[in-house]
Amino acid sequence: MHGRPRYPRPNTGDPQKLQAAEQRVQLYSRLTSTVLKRLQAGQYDKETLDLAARLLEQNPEVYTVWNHRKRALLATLSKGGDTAAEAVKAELALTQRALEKHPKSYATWHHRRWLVAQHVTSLQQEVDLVNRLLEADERNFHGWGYRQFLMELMQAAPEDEEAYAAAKIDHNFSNYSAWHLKTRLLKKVHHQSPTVTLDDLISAKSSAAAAAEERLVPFWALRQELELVTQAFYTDPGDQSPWLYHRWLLGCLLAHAQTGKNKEEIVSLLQQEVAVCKDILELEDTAAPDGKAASSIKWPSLTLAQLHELLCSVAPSSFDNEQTDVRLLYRQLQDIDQLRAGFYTDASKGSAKILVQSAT
Amino acid sequence: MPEIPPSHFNLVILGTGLQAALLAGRAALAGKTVLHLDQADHYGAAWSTLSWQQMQQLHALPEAGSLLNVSSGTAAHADLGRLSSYAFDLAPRVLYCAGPAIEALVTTGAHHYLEFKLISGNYFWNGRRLQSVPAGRSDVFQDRSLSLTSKRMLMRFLKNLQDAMEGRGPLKDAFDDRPFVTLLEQQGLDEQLRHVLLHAIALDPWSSKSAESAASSAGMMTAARGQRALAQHAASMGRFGPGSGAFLTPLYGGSEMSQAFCRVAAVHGALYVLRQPIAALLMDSGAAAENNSCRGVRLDTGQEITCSALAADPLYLHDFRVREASASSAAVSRAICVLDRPLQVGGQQALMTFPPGSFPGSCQHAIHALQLSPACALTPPNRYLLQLSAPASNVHSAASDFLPLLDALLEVPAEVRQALTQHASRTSSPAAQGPHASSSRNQEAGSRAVHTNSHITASHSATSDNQESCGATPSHDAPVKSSKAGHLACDTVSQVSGGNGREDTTSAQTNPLAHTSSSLSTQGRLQGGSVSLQESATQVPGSSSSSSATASPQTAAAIPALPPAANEIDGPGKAESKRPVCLFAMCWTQHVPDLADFDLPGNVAMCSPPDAQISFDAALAEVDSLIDHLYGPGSASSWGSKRLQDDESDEEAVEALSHALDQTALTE
Repeated sequence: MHGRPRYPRPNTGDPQKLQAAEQRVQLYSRLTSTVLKRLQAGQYDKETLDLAARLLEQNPEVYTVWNHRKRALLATLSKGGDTAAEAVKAELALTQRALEKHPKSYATWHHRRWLVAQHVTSLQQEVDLVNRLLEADERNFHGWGYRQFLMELMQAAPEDEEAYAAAKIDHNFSNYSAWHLKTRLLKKVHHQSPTVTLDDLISAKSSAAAAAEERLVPFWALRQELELVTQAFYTDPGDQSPWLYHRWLLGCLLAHAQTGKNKEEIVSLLQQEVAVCKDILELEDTAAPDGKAASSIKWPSLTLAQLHELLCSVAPSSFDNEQTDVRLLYRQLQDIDQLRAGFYTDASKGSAKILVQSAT
Repeated sequence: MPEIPPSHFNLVILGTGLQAALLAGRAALAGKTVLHLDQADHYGAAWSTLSWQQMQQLHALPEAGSLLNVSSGTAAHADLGRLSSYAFDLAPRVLYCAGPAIEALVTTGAHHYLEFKLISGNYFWNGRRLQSVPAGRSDVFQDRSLSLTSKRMLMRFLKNLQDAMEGRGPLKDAFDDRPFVTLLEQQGLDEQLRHVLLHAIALDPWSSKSAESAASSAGMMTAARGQRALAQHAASMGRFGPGSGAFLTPLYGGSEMSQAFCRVAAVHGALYVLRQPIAALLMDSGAAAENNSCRGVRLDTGQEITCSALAADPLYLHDFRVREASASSAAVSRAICVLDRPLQVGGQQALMTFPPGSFPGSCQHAIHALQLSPACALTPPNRYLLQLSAPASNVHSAASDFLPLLDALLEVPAEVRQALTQHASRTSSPAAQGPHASSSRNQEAGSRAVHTNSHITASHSATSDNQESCGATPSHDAPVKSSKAGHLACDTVSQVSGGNGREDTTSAQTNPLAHTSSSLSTQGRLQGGSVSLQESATQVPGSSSSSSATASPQTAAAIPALPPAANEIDGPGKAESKRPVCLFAMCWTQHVPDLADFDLPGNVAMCSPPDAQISFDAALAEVDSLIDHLYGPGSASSWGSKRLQDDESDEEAVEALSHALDQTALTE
């Protein structure tokens, strides 16, 4: 589903095909002008709406037509009951037909959200449908967004959602949407039941500080996630989606560091990650000593530089000598990834935007 | 028999094996007049799928000519279910989801006549247990048994291979004639990964070790072939949905493939006559020997039919044999087992690869095992087929190639074991002339459909055993029922143990899939429900192990070094009953004639019988070269084919739009 042009390129070879394409354009403009003229005149009869449906099946991006259809539906919806449900079902079927041809049309997805939010149709059916879509096209972020929209309507348990994202990642970890969902869910999963102990009450810890601590992802969960991304790194170090998730995990560690507690734990985890990056770089080095595959060493190098920086900031006294390492890494990155050479220059001067943000 | 009306055909094909069938289909589609004959009363020749009845009378079938050392045994008191529900493939095979076989089906339109089952599991024997094959990126990512370094090495090799396909990367010139295994070694892949790539993904059954030593390295996989095979596997993975694996198997057995191609040919005008023995091939002798050509065939009715080109199974070509088959010529060991439950807890279709040397004393090549559930319509409910094949290490006894494997994975009752081995020892002395004998039988089979066979009649004792037990089934109604109940109880036991897999070593071994997060929740549920199930499980040892109890001590004694999988089973009770019981087994050696032993006239092509490969694809891809041989280079690619269009064309859009506008035109 990726790396494909959205519309087939016009075929220039065959005159017969060219003629057909031209005819298609003419017919399409005739249909559009007819439909828009009638709709703007407030003509919401069945024939016009059918024509509008034909038009949307051809090109779902004409959002004016979708909005006219919404207006036309409002009358039916106000009646409520089975008539409203039937009308919404028919409209859902239309958006489905449109999405089958154009799965990335914003206008269609918006229309569908509006329909579902009327609460006259089954949400579970929608979930099944979007699950099927995400099986066919696992990286369709419209689909992921729509799924989360449904889950919020249904007030689904974050644990189940986390399992879904994990299964998708197992199937193909090159999926930003799934990793991103994990970043949103991990915090929810671990903060549902704030545990206030008697000790906390006795020590009269300020509630704000306690709440802030509660919002941190616990170390055991972070360790588990770090193990998962390590598996992904070794499978394909050139794939950037697990590295970006890794950056978020480092942000969680940074957030822990800002509480000023568990310093040893944080430092040891950071050092463990340093070892992972170094090992991957070493493996790449032995594999292709002459022509290194730039894509597979960019991310471990960049992450290694960031880890050194983090170590310096978390425990400044003990890791000051890491500074030289970092500059060397950024210089190498300038060569490997020339399009971002300026960014690496800034980063080595310390004037780049913060690379790892505290994830609170 | 009535005369066949036209006396001349462009192409006459003898035998309805897989290659012959596709050739008939392609030729008929290209507008050739085709006559397709087979002396048997069924399609498929050496690729047939046979009923239980036909298997019992295998010696009377024409295709038996190339089958040696047939032996079979049925467990005493075995409940096989309806015998008429069984069908056995003489050459069980799978299809790559994106390979020449699918291409052949779609371009001829034969796919309209077929249904397939996905082979959802692909496993290899890691020396201790069956483990999922890390075939694609997601498998490698999820596999926690690979070390991180192995992961990197494997993935890098696959990436470089992909780049090399596009003419880039460090290995772009590496995929040449060198042995594939040498290249894998050079790329730093350890032995287990080499085995997985070579035998479980590229599906090469021949051991790389024997290829190094043997002068005839014809069967050895070159790096170039290995690259194509891996690319084909990568394209096949998940083609029919996420997690669908890389392989398919035809519903109702492999001869469906032959039949579908034959039907395509018939629809396009080819003439089919089964049960038609051939009396002689008619020759036109030219001035020089190499100008010889085949003029046609004489049927046993006396009718002569002329043709421009002829293709035939080796069975019909004995006139052109110039050398007797050498003792070292290719042969395939095959075995069929009927199991009372699946080897894999999933119970689905699964392909299993046992790399060379997996079991001491067994086959020196890789063994491929194909497990099919009743969903494939080859067995009655609750009975599973396990079909094994490997290049024969011991051409005198197929059983000896497989017994160590069977003993390690299955409960093989003593009487089954005895039936298989007895025959092996009996034929071992005169077997030096085995291949020789087979070629003489071929000659016989060419002219006469019915012939007797000393090797096959040697297995009659076992056959009559079967018949006895078949006859006994209806009269012993009560015991059959009780043993059925026993089996049902066994099923629940294996389910429970599957759920408790983490604690129980033996069941963890048979359940390699229980590590995904989704299965964790299932485990919870099963554990919750295990109290009531365990009650029924306690009945099992008494009710179901009656047939296996006598077998196990002997089995253990016969195999000196059982692999840990078997040793770890801790007692005769519940754990013992987890291994599938082999209710029926049949072994044979299939002889594969060598094209080099034949001196064929220019207009004659030989259709290959099945070799040790486990996929249909190579055999079907070879049909192109048969076509080029008969009709000149380039013919295969110029013969038209039907292709599918996937995108909506402008023409379709114009039609849809015109239709919509027509309706408005009416009202405006």
